[in-house]
Amino acid sequence: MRFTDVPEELIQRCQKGDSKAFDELYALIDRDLYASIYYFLRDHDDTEDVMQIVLVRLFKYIKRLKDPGKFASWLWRLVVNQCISYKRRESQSKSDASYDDAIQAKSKEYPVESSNLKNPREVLINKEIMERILREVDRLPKRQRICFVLFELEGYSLNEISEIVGSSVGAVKFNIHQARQKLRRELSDIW
Amino acid sequence: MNCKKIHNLIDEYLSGVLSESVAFQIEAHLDECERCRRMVEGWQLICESLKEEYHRIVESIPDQKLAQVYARAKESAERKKITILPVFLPSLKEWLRTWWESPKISWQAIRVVTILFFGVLIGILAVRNRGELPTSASLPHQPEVVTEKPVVFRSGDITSKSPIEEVLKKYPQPEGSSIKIDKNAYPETAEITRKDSPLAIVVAPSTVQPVKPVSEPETTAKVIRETEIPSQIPPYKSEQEHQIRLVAKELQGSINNLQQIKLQLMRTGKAESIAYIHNLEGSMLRIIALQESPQETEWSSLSNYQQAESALLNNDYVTAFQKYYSVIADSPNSYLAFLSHYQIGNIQLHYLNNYGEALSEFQICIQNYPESYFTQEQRRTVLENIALLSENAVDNWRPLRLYLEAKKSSVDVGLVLYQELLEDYPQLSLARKSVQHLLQNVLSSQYEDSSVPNRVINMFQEAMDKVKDIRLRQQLQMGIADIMNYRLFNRQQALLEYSRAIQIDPHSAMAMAARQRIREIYDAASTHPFAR
Repeated sequence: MRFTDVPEELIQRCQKGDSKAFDELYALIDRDLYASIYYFLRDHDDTEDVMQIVLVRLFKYIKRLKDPGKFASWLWRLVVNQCISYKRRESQSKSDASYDDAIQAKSKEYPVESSNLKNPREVLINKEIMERILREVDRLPKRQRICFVLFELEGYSLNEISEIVGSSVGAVKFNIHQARQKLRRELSDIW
Repeated sequence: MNCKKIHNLIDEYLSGVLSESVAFQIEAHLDECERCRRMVEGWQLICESLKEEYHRIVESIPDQKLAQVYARAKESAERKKITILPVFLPSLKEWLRTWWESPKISWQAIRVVTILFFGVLIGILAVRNRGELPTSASLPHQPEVVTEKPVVFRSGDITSKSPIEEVLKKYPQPEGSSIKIDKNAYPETAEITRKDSPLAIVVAPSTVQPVKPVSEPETTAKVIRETEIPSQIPPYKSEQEHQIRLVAKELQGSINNLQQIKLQLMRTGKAESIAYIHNLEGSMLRIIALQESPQETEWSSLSNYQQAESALLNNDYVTAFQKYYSVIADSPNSYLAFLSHYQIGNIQLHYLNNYGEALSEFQICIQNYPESYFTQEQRRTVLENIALLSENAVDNWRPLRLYLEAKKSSVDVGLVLYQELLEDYPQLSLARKSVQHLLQNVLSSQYEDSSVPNRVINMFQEAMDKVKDIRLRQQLQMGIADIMNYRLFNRQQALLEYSRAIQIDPHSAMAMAARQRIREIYDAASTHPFAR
């Protein structure tokens, strides 16, 4: 379930400290939360770590959320901030080369079964191309990638993204535009 | 619509924000243009495949993993004492808000009373805190101006008396306190000397004039009370004098450091800093002089000495000497006179090479002045210099000249001068000193010329043929061996040379050292990877 679909009533119960409500909430968003973090970090171990941090913060600060209707963008902001700070910490300890290797190695941990693919164009997309696309997305600067992913894949509006990322709508627009330009330039040989 | 326009609008087209007509135009172009169509399709492909990837990730996560993460997060939250318990704070806030906004009159009255209560409480606390400001006892040297409650009186009250007397009536003084009124001052003041608090000054209100009533109905007077009059400084006790002497000694010691800094600065040429340090040094010296010999020091000598030092800084030896001698003439037994002798001695020795004069100056220092004038450093230098000068007082101080000249000159000239010194005056301590100096320079690779170690060895060997003195011979032999060992790394030859050095005098300390070196060479050889 997407974050936007979480019922407000459930959030209000969480704010009142109902521990059952937390369980319910988690049951609703667990997969999406994991996937959204994984989308930025591309590493299952790291994702688990960051997810844990995000959950603890969720427990701690959900009381401060004034408008339960804005839960989705609030949670996204939490995720984005934690991912960025995690990456920053990690980049201080790891060199870039080993980081790339780690991505290569760890992305194979959970094998994706090809039978899941149902799109008729799947024949065209062989695994190599897919990997290339992902690599290019990974290579985008942090902000551009976040804005791009939120806009293209999560379908958030520019206003919502600007709230999540904490910058102006113009900046978000520019970031998305830049990301698109870059991807189009880098992947121009695919078509 | 051309391809370029399509490129610019493609983002908007894909986002679906374009108007229908524009979108229609683009679609029409896409139908015609193969290249643009492929690009748009490619882009859609990318987005779709990313979405698919996302879904695949979502579906591939094991449930177990998710449960584990949740359990861990809960555990960690509990450890950090983040309790997921009902919060009463928001409800309390809500209750307070409804109470505050309630329109009932009784509630409003309670609100007013509460505000007043807190206001008064804060006021009382503020006043009390003011009373707890640092008192006169904690700040003895800062006279505190106590603004007492202003005395308010009407000008009509003043009858025959002057304003100051009127004011004083408001402040009854304890018995035994004397009041001195100054009526000529404007405003009129009164000094009150009391037993408990030594002085209080009462100032009459300046606006009050006793003769004609003023239009201002009220005036104020302030009482300014000085806290403490500093008690008279008691005469020095012996302990204090002792302490002052200690401090003066310390100052004397730090002058040495200052002089070192000055020398270093002179090399780097920071004129301004030199001047600062020079002035500082001068003032310190004068203080010490006054402390050491207050009776013997003439006032003019202080400035003369400073002028002499300044002249010295500018290498003006003539003026410096004139001033130094005038110090010596004016106050012959003072500390400054001692310093003058000492400085003249140093200049004669190091700059003018008049060794005879230097010797006599140093001797005067030692013989005529008390030991307390010297710092340890100065005494050592003076005694060393006297020893050096009197020992080398042969042939018009030729050995000393040779030694100092050799120290200053280049390698080639230096080696010749050292050889001359070694051969002509082997009995002097200066000869041993020069061997030491030369050896030190060679071993620490001071000379860039790679032939120097061999030349020094040759020189030492030549000198050994002529020198009869056993100690010097042994030292020369040790020097040769050391150069072989540490500089040329010819260990076998070094072993031979060391054993020769031992043979010269087997019981001396130097022979011991030679044996030690031999042992070191053998140890190094046995631990060497190629050793058999």
